[in-house]
Amino acid sequence: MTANPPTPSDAALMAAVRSGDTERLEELFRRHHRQVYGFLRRASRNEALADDLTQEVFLRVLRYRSSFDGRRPFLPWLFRIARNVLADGFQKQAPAALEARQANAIPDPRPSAHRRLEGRERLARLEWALGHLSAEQRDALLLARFHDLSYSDIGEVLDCSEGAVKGRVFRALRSISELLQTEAEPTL
Amino acid sequence: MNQNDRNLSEVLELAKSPEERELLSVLWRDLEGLADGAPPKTALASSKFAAGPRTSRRRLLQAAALFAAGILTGALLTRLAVPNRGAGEASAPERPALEAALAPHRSAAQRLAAVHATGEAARTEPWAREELIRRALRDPVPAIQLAALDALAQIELPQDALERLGAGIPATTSPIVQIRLLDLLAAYRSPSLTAAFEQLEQDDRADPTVRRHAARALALRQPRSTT
Repeated sequence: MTANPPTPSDAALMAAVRSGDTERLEELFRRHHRQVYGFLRRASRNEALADDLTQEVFLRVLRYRSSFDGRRPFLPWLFRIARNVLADGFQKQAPAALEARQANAIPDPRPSAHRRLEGRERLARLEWALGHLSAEQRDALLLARFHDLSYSDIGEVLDCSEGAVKGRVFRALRSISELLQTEAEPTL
Repeated sequence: MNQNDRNLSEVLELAKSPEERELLSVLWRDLEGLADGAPPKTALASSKFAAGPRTSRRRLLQAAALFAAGILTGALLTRLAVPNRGAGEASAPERPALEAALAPHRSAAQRLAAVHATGEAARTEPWAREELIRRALRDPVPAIQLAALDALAQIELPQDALERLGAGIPATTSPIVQIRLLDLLAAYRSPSLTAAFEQLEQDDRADPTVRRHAARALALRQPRSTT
């Protein structure tokens, strides 16, 4: 009975990419593009931008493959690239195209549409609040909440200490809570 | 305890009161609903990363096929443009072209473009809605299933359509498609969907994220307290 060949680690795939086997990048893409897209989508609230930036992230993985230290984990390095790409992307593109689409949406007068909005409205408010965080708090929160990274790994992504990451996540959650309360208060 | 729970636990240590811990826990849970959207350009995008000197003949043929598909899709979309029209006007010129573009032998790129065009028609044409439901439940490419679900999310779905979509969740193999299906159906409060959500929530073989979305869909159906 033959055993299945072991699945190569991310570091092994990157080593292959560094030595010229760039087709191995496809496997890395298959493994991680959803995570990268998810991070960019939540951070930018713009699906089209997130789509473009996801491609750019993996192009930069290829371009800067020689800078990857095989002794370090791959995911934090990947997310560092994603953050840089996001920052560059915001500079080049008009932000919040999603908000523009929502502003142009035709309201549905049917009674059932109001009930459907409850869950979506809560999520829309959360997205709005997330968009009002600083980039440092936002990215720390997204990486901690959605990407199964330890605070130590996130510290590598954000170039700060583990304690600083926890602090950013904590303040991010508190800021969201305050923003939601502010947004919900009636204006006189 | 998984990494997500550990991260929450460590952050809650910074809270100054039980009330603050509870508040932050609720927020952490609610963030689960933030969609990451459909990761588009999956198989197509990977073809960008082939190196020049090592590009195999197979890759060149794939690239040529994609290019040709793009030309054909562009030509097809030109014919598929849905003109502004009032409700009830005949859609005969668009329907055969869309159905042909969605045929199984068409490439994924062509079917994806046709799904987007069908989404426009589905606002007024029941047959287009039915086609989107078929794509959402049966297309072999998850990106196309997701595009169909996105289009269905823009229109009001009748009860029978909801039930068919709910019944189709277990047979869907892609967890991300299952999640989008759940999120779509969760927005409706149809009692007939409760059993489908419960079945998925309790299925040990289902993806944990899918089960969480099923639980969330059930939680959204809880009656609000009036006190």
